[in-house]
Amino acid sequence: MRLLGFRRHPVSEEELSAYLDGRLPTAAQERVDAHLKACTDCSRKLEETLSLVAELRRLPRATASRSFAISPELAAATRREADRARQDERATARRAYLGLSGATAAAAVLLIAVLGVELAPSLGGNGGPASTTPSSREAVGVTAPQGSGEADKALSGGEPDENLAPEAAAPLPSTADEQGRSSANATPAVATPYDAAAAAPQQAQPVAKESSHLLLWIVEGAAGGLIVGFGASAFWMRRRWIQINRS
Amino acid sequence: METHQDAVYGLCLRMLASSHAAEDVTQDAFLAAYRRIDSYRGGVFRAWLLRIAANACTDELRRRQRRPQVSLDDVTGDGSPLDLPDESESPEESLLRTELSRHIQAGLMALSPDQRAVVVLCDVQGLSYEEVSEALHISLGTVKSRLSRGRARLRELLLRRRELLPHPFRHTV
Ligand SMILES: [Zn+2]
Repeated sequence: MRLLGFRRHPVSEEELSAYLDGRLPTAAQERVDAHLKACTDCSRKLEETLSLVAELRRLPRATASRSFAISPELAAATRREADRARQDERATARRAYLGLSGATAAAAVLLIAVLGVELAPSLGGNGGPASTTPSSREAVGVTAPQGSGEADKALSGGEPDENLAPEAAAPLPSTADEQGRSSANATPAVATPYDAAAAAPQQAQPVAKESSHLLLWIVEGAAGGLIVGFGASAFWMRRRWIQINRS
Repeated sequence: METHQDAVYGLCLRMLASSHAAEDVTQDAFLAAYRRIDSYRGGVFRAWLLRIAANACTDELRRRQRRPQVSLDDVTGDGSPLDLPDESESPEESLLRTELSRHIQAGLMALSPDQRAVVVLCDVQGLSYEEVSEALHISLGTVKSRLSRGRARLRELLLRRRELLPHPFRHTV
């Protein structure tokens, strides 16, 4: 019955609403006209809607009990307030922009440092950080002096002895050796005290290669994410700052 | 601006059903309009003003939803600006009209704010579809569909209380 009924009323609520406002295209209007003549349900609906609209029109037109015109005093106060808010926002945007730029740069330095640590052994001529003992033994002879030279330059002060002396005296094979060189090569990019302190324990108790690489990747990923995040925020803040300056 | 004041206030009052809130929001809207006057890019000034007011109403309604403490006493309270008596009517007629007007306002409050804004601007304030489209920054199609759904909903709500309604509604039954 409902289905039948639905088909018998080819006039939608929206058409009816537009119809009573006289806003239907001619063809649709003629179709609705024809249907309304034949269908008491729809013509009653139209009547009710017309009554509703008439009642809505007759609703008391509210008038406010006071004026909302902007007095000169209110206008001046509003201007002052707006100016102050603008100044505040400008200062905040500038601070945020500078801070975020700094953070981006710091994350970039971190990423470069970590990449340096990871790629350093491959500069020495063997197949990368994951390579195995035989080739790295050969490489030691070539890279060790270079590594300590760089470290000497970078480590301002008398620290080099602590981490490089054991290496120079008795080149250790594989893991421990590479760890030592890695951190030595990385020194130019990272703050020195950390490496001087960290290199010694690493030589004393070798860390498993796999886990140290995993750690590097995690740090790289995090640094990359920070660069993107801070960089985008800094860019946005700069745009905001320029916008405020212009307005 | 003064000449547009009633249109803005009327919209706020019907949207918020509270004369206090409507006055506050109207004042806020006028201040916002004053501040943003440089962003007025031509077009119908009243529509621009109504848009600011409609946005302010939406903000107020959202705030209300977060902490629902505003009662709707204003709607039914005596002397509310929502049901000013028409001087030309008899006391009985006027009483009926007040009753009906309250039911209609309660019905309006049952609509979604989006539908309510369209119905108020179109049917209460008599703006054209085009003006409503400009004021609310929505397409003509959206105006039509919100208006028809709002009207249908209101119609059903009022028919449910048919016995309370005066002749215009009853004689069609
Ligand atoms: Zn029909």
